[in-house]
Amino acid sequence: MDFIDYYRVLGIDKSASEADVKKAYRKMARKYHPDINPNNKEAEKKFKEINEANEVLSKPDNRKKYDKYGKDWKHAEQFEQAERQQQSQGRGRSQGQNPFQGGGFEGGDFSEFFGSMFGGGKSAGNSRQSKFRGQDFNAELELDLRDVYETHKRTLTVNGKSIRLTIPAGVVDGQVIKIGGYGGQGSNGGTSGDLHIKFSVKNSTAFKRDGDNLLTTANLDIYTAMLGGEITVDTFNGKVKLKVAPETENGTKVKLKGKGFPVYKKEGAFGDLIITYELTLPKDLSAEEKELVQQLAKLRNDG
Amino acid sequence: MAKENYILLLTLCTNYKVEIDFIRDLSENDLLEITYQKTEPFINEEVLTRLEKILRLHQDLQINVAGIDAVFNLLGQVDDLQAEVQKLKNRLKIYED
Repeated sequence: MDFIDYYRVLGIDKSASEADVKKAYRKMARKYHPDINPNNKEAEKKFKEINEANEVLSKPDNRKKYDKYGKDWKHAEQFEQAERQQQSQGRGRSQGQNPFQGGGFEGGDFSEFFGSMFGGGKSAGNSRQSKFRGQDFNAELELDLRDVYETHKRTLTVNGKSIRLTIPAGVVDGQVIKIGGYGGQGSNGGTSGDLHIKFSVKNSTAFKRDGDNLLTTANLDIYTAMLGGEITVDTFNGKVKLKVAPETENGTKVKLKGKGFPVYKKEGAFGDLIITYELTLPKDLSAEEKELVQQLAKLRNDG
Repeated sequence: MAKENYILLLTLCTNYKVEIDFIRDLSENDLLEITYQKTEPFINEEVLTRLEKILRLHQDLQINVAGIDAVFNLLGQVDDLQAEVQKLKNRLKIYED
């Protein structure tokens, strides 16, 4: 846990007036507010930082305490206790009270540094509490390409609540689905918010996904390529035998209809599998092989 | 009109501590739709998420109605661009090893 320079966070001098703090905070809030930075985690982090800095520097008591102990924050509580003992007895003091009750902006979690100095690790901001409709929650779910090849069910825990979710086959990386009513609870008779789940689909397979189509390569030895024949190739869910035409060139593409990826929310519909042949040359030729190849070359060159 | 999906404007203003004139202003700027049943104004529950965002922009960032309209237009463009970037990123994966 490190010391946080709240003045630097807001880009102001230690001698800044209350008005300067307010101005700096508002300027930065306009830049990093989550509502004008959709899907921007960096901005969200920055907004929490400036929010925390504002909670400290905009309130005279907090700022005084912060300025007084500064980098000695680790000992702030001990200093305070010693001071209290020295002071005259019987003076009332609201110990353990969170100085940030009723704070302004949405803050989310405050830093450990903030918690150790001012008590409480979370913003007690009321402005974001539900006034009617519950808050929307956002979550991210990481899946592998194999997981989204078939429609499947999964149990997620979001904010302590278990949700049984059906994930349709064909979900795309970055896709967001909305689950109505699984957000925060409403108040004053309002409905619950929604849960937005963003899918992050990683691909650890040998196939590349291009929309609903799958792309892959298959090695083809030059003899089969020249003379034609049959080879076995992997599809996403099994193997197929393919007939290779004589004199097949390197880079030839073969399309296998319906052997691609399932189409999202279209049951039974699949994209295509596109296989690109990569010709392989024999290595470590024996003397006999070399001689035969030379004969072949001579035949070809001399006509 | 299914009444359970609509909230009386007055109830809404009380809960969100917002002036009724502000909501009317939003409606006049096509930022929010007010539905009337007889003479009573209602708001569809579906637009509450939008209203909350509007209120945050207005109350937290002191943005006026015209500014909110501009912000929403730009956010619409950001949404479209982000969707396009995601689509292009997915396409680009074909060329990655």
